[in-house]
Amino acid sequence: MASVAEGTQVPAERRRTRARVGAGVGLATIWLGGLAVAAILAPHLGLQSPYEGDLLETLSMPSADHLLGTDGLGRDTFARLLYGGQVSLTVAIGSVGFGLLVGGSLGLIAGYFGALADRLIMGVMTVLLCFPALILAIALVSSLGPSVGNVTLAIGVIFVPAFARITRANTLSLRSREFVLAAEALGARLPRILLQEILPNLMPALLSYAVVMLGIAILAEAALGFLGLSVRPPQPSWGGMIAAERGNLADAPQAVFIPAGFLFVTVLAINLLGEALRRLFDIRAQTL
Amino acid sequence: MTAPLLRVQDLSIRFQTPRGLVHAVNDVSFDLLPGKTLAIVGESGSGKTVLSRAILRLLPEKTTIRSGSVMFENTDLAALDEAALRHYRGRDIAMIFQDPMSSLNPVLTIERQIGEVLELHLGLAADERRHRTIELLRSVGIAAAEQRLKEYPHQLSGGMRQRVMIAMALACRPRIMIADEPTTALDVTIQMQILVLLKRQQRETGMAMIFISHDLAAVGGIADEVAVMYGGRFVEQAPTDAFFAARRMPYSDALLRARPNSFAPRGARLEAIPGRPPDLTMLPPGCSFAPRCTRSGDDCLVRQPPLNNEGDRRFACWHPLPGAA
Amino acid sequence: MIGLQALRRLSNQVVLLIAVVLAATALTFVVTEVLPGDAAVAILGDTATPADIASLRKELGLERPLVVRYFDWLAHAATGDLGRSYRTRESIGVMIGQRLPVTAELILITQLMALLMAMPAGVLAAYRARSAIDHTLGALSIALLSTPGFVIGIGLIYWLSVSAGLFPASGYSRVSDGVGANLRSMFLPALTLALAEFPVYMRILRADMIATLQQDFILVARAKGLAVRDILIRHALRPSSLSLATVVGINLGRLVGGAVIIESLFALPGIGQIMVNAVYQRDNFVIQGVVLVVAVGFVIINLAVDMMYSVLDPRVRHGVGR
Repeated sequence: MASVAEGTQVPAERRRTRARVGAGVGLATIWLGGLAVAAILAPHLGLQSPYEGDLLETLSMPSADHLLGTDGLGRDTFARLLYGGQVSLTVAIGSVGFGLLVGGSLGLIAGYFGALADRLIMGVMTVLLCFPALILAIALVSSLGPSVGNVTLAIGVIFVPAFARITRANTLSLRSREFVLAAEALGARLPRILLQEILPNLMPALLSYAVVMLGIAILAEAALGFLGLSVRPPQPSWGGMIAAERGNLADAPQAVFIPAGFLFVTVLAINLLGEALRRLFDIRAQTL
Repeated sequence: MTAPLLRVQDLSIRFQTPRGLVHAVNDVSFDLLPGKTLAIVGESGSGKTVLSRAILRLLPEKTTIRSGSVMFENTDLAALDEAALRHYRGRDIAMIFQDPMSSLNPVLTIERQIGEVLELHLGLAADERRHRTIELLRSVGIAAAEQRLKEYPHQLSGGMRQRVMIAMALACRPRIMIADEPTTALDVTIQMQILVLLKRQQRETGMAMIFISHDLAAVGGIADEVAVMYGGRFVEQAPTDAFFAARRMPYSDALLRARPNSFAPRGARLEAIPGRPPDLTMLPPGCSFAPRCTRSGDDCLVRQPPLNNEGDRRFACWHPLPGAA
Repeated sequence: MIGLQALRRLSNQVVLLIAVVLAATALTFVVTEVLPGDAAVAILGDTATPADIASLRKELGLERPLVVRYFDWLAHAATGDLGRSYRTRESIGVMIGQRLPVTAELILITQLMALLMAMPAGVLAAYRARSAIDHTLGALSIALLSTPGFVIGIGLIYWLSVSAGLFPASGYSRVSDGVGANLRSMFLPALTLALAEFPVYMRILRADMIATLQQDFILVARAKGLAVRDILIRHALRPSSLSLATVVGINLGRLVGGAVIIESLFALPGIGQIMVNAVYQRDNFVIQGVVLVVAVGFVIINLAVDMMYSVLDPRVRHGVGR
């Protein structure tokens, strides 16, 4: 027993912690689920219009009429947040999906075949990583034009090297495992090996990583929105909403902090879920 | 009669784990006299390592439940607070461990690691430390001592690393050395050299030693007394010669016989002890060895045999092997 | 201390430097060419006639084939001439020279702050793993990770600037105008970035520390009678710093781009700014110049981090596998 780390928990304490963590994950799931549903059903929910503002009611605090107040042009914040949520969620899922698909495939090829394919693919990834990610995104979006699709693509491209790397690392370690060698010895054809032996074993690690990346994607979209590079106004985006009200920080801080809070809670929920998933699938993390 | 240097009384150590309460050490008592060596022998899981660490309280405080006393010259080490206890560690009572590669810090020089103890406990200045370190390295048989000072553990061989460990432990001339399987990880030839080294140190300074091992035969050359542990208890304790002449408790006998006999003919069977060590979370009310014992009776399963004194020997058994004629 | 292995690694790194720089700049050239949008159009605006556009393109040398343009640029860059901005005709070398120190200072102060916060936190969290303090730090980490940098920035501005008036809300003060003012103008932006890096650093250090604290030599240190603080700092910290050093190194390069938003938020004249503007305006030479500088800086930093490994872990120094 070489451990100096003194804070090891007694079983009773451990139960309490686990209960607390469970509650957090539960709340996170409820928030995300609720947000997704609300965002999808937004047009049918009878909300105030996110595009038309009441100029007599600008920068107001939350009230019965406007659940989360109004912005600088009198538009209902809650409605804008939900419509902006459509953008955020679409971009998040789309970009992570893209990164997973493209990056994952590249990583799989590099890890499985090794040698030249590996060097080539990883070489390109390394160079890509040399570009400050945000600048690459800015370049792509500003030249292709701001739209949900282009933002998704831009962020997706940034994710490719990360997914490629992690897929490659996992593939490399799986490649020399007995069940793969067994399949090869039995003469299984290549697609079968890749799809039925390696891919299912990659999934847990990749998926927990993907969940974390969802949060990062939302933050990235918000960052681009803040710079004015996400969807074009008057379509709402969370980052854009924060940027728009920045000037009113002194007089009406809530116009900035309410959208910021919304963004924060959403990403926090994703991170909590990601943590829980990671702990489930990553044996090493369980000991931490 | 000389007063014992160390007197352990009814020491018990339990750990709280997810699996339950582990009774690692149960009511262990023994005395250690100056200049003498006590060998504590047992299989893995017998509690000998936990016992060795318990003396200096090196076990994780939060999950460890301890009871009993560890008297070192009229001070109960078990009752001291951490700050006071630190004065004894590395100074009056030192410890060496099994694997010298992982026991030495890979990023610190030899000089640093030995010098630390000299600085901490003896308050030596830099040049004094250097001088003393070289002296120590030479005394443990390391040749070009001055060169070794600036080297790192990975640059030394296994035997040399263990010598460095010993030098580190001897730095403040401890009264007691606790050696936890110090030779297990080494080549046979090096093993001998290390044992000789330790023995010589004892003769020169009157240092007492607790020598933990799973190998009974290795212990023969170095120990004055042998204690056998099973299920966290001492089940037999006797002076070395008497022990090797005859055992009373069946387990200690089986342990000695289980060692492969290098002179046996080819194809001779190994005498293994059937069964497995007890689950320390669920110790039986009776003797823990009873399920595996060839001599056990019904009473063995029901009541714990106490340690009987018989001359210089103690043993705990309801149906012991016949005594020496 | 510089042995044969170290020299070999050094020369490998130099080769890597050249390769990466060539690859990065070539890739940039190709990308800016392929992407829709035209420099001349961007400069002249929507009202320009095709004739105007054509003549400006000729003037800027945009008529020549891509490969020619690339090697021409490369040749000039090798001699230190990064060309002139299409838009403002300023020398790019000068532009970058003026703005790079600002970004560099920001990144340096950021890393220092982040490490100053993360190291004690990581050590504490590892030593008291799974205790209340560890969970609190963990919760703080997740909260910070869930907050975009610009929101942290705006929050800090609101608190410490608008409300408390302690620091300027924006603007940059040059060192030559007073170190105090300079540091005050850097404080909020650096803190913003540092708070974003802190969770990652703390987490990494904590994980490595927990692993290190389970090693035998830590038990030996305890058995020698060392106090907890000495054990943590003298024995455990160094072997646990390798992953952290790697990430800090990677971040130094990443932050150049990542600082863009913060530089914009706090109106700091760094290279992130000119990069973003150049991208909007398709000012290709500026883009090239910045990419070159960033790529070179990135590899040099990797080199420095690599050398730091040797200092931190003598096993690396002597080329021993771990």
